[in-house]
Amino acid sequence: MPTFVYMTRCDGCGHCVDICPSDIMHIDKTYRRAYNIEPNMCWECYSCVKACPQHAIDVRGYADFAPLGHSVRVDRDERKGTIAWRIKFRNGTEKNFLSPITTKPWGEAIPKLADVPAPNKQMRDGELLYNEPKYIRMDDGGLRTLESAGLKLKMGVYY
Amino acid sequence: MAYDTIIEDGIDVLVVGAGLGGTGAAWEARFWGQDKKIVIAEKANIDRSGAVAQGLYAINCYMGTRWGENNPEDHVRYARIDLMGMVREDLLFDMARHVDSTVH
Repeated sequence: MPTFVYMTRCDGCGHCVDICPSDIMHIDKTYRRAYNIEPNMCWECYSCVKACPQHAIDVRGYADFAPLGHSVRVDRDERKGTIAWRIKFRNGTEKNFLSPITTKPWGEAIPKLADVPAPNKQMRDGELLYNEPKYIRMDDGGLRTLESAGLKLKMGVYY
Repeated sequence: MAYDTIIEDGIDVLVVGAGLGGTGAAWEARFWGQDKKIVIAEKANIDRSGAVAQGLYAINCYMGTRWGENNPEDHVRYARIDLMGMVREDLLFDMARHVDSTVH
């Protein structure tokens, strides 16, 4: 399910080249357009699809279970803090999803952990991480341990 | 392609990788050691990179312990089968205990 590029939309800006975790989005030296140099190494992580300002990158479905005619498009807007997916099925069904990617202004609301009160001894001796809700479970609240679950640790490699 | 050599001295905590695990570890390290010098080293583009940071594993292993759906040992069994037995169960169990609270 690799990515491919609509050559008429791509302007060769190179955002996809920067963002691709596998470094497989490259700029064609002749046509100055992006293309996927190694489609079988593509993870379909959609990083380049979201990064492309021209919406020039799309992802092709596997032919066996995603037949021709479908489309999955995404628009990630950091200013609005939203991500929108539009999924079109082959039979014409269309589904739209709009989700928040953050509830605070992008890149501004970064907490200053160095300024919060330092952990006291009781916190240091405890098992909870920073700001971890104390009551994760509804029964007795504490973190589950091997003893409380009546389990023993088996050693070695086994199924 | 040319690479610059960056020399950082006097680091107390060096976190290798800025994925979910690395950023979480650095976040914790800052709280428990507020005067420590912490450096995260990441090879890729930090805007958005890799697939795991986009929540694949977080969705897979949310356990719903609060509603009695799954427990840490269920996650250990899932990951052990997933990785063909090659897991450190003690570390995995301890990690799984904290998974739900990353969501709540």
